[in-house]
Amino acid sequence: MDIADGNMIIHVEKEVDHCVADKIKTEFEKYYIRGYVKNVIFDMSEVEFMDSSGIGMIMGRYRKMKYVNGQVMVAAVPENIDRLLKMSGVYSFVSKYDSVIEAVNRVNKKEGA
Amino acid sequence: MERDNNKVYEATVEFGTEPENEGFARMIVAGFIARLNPTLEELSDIRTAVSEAVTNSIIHGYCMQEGKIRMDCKITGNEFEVTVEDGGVGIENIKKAMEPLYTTKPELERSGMGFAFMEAFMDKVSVESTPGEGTTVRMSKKIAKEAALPECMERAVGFD
Repeated sequence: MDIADGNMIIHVEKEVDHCVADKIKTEFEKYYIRGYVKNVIFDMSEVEFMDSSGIGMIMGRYRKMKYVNGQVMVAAVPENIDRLLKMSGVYSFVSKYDSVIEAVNRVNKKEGA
Repeated sequence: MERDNNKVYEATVEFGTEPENEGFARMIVAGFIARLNPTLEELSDIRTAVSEAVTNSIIHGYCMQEGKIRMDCKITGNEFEVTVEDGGVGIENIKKAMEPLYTTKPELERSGMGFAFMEAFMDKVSVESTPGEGTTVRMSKKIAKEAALPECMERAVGFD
């Protein structure tokens, strides 16, 4: 997990289940309650497995970031994970980018404008 | 080539409600179905479905308290069947529980997609539950449906 200019980049682990999702939520919360997080970018490049706990994790961050007018993005989503995100309607709230850099550029540009 | 479509394999495991056991259950299932040579997609489908069922037992069935979950795996021919059984609180309204996005634990940020994923990734899903006694989820999926292809081709060549 890195934070630069309020953009929190979460490098998601290989297997995202209930266990891992809870760990990520706890870690996020530490920075969120201090007001450090302006936007969240999930780097999905390493993810090989995900179940609905991962969907809950992304949707949950979306709800939290809405309070602070922040965005949630997913980047570098592998094909099998993309299928899950599509099925659960995640893309109606969260935008997808090919890479973390692309997502960061997009969000910085928006804030600059 | 003769295919033995009636060959049966079985395995049963019982484990506790430690969340790490979700990964353990996925590993067991992946190892068990390896003999059917599933595609990566089939393997991923089954691991997701099993993960959902086991997570439900831990979070909803036992509310993260102690308990035992029993998983029975069976292969008959090219069909894989798995049963996940708990002795937890049970489900009052199964139909409601299976609706996509419905969850009784929004505070835990559950997405309500558990049963929807099980139904999407397996051929058949059935749920039996008695409030106060527990829940049994039974799922099955035919593996390597395309394995029938070489047989057809053999026949085609035979006719030639």
